[in-house]
Amino acid sequence: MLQTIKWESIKQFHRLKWIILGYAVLLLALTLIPADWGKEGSAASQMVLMFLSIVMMFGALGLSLYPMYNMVSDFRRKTYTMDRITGKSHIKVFLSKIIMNLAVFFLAAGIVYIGTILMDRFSTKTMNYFTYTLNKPYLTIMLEMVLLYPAIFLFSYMSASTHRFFRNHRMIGTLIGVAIISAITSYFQFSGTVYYIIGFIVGMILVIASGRMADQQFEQHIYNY
Amino acid sequence: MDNLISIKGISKKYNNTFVINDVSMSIPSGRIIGLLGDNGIGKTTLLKLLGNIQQPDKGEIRIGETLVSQMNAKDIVYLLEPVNIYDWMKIKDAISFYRDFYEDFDAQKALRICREFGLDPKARITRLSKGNKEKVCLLLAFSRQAKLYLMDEPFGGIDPTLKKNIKKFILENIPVNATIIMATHLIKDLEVLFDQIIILGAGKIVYVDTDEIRETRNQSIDEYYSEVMENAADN
Repeated sequence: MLQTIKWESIKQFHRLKWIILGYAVLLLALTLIPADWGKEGSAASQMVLMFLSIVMMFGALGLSLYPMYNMVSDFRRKTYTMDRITGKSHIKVFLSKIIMNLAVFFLAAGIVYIGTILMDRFSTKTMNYFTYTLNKPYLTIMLEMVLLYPAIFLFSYMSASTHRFFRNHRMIGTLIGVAIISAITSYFQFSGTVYYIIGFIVGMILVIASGRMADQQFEQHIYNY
Repeated sequence: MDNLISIKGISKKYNNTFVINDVSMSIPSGRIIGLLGDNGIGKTTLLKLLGNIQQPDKGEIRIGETLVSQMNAKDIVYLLEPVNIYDWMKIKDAISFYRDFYEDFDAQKALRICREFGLDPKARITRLSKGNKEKVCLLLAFSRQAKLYLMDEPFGGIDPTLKKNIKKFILENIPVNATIIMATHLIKDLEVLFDQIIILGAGKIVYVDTDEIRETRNQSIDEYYSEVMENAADN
C-alpha cells in the first residue's frame, strides 16, 4: 500500500506541478505588489488585479473539481497498462487517490486562504477582489470534496464502464449516475456528526465497490485500452 | 519437455464478436514462441488472457498447475509498449517503479543493460527515439526473473545491430526454463528466434515447431506463414 501511495503522490505531483508553480509565482507576485497599488484608482492596475482574481477563482474551482477527475483519470490513458500489470488491486489505488485528494484539498484551501488575505490588501470601499465565503462547515466541504463526491463520480463511472450499453457512452452514463445518486442523497437531510459518519461510510462503500468492479469487470469488455 | 501453459477451450468476445474462439493448446517451458497473424485477429487479446489482464468468457488457462485467474498479474512479465510509460518518467524512475512493485526485479541488472544499450538512466523516456524507448521496455522486462514473458510487437524500432544479436540478448537475460511468447509482424527479422510458432486467423490455430518447417518442409517461417494464410483465404 505504501508503494502505491508513493507512486500515486509522484504521479499527482507531476500532473499538478505547473499549477502549483504558477500559484507560487502568483502569490509571490501579490506579496511584492504594494498594497496601495489597487487603491490609486488606476484602471490598468484594477484590471490587472481583477484578472488575477479571476485566475485565482478558476484555479480554486479547478482544484475543487480535480478530485473527481483524479479518481477516473487513469482509465483513459495508455499508461493504465503500466499500473495494471503490477497486479495491485484497484481498491488500493482508489484509496491512495483519496489520500491524494486530501492533499489537493489542503493545497486548494491554502491557495484560497492566502490568496484572499493578499488580495484583500488591495480592496477599497467600492472594490473587492478575490474573496470567499463558506456556505457549509469546513469539515463538510472537506468530506464532500475529498471523499463523497469523488466516490459518487467514480462509482457512476465504473457502473457505466461495466454496463452493456453505457460502456460505449461512459460520460453520459456517469452523468446519469451522478444525477441519480445526488437525487437520492439529497432526499436525506443529515447534518453535523451524523452526516460526517454516514458520508464517510457511504463514500468508502462506493470506493470499495468501484474497486471490485474495476478489478473484476473493467478490462473484460474493452478491446483496446 | 514439461508443459508450462495449458489452454483449454478458451473464447473471448467483444461486442458479441468472437476474437478468440474455442482455442486449446499446450505450450512447453523453455521455448521462444512467435505469435503470428494479421492485425485485429486476437494476438494482443491472447497475450492479455495469458497475462491475466483479461479473463476468457469460456475455458481455462493454467500456468503449471495454477489457473491464471488465480495468479497475480505481476507473476508474469508483460512487456510494455513505450506509450504505456508515464511521460514524465526518466529511465531511472521507471527502474524505481519496477523495483518497488516486482520482487523479482533486479535494478542493478537493469542499470547494467541500460549501459550496454548506451542509454543514460537520467534521460527522459519521451525524449528518446522510438528504438531507444523500446530498449527501455526490454530492459525493464528482462531485468525480471519469471517463467513466462509476453511481448506484443517488441522490436518494431530496434536498430539492426541489436536485432541481429537479440537471441543472444534474450537467452542471456531470462531463466533457463522461461518461455517467451512474442506477437510480431516482423517474421523475416525474427524467425531465427522462434522454436515454435502459433498462427492465428487461418481458420484454425496452427501451432508448429519451426524445426519441422525448416527441415521437413524446407521453408522459411515467412514462406510457411504466407502459405498457411493463402490456403486459409482460398478455403
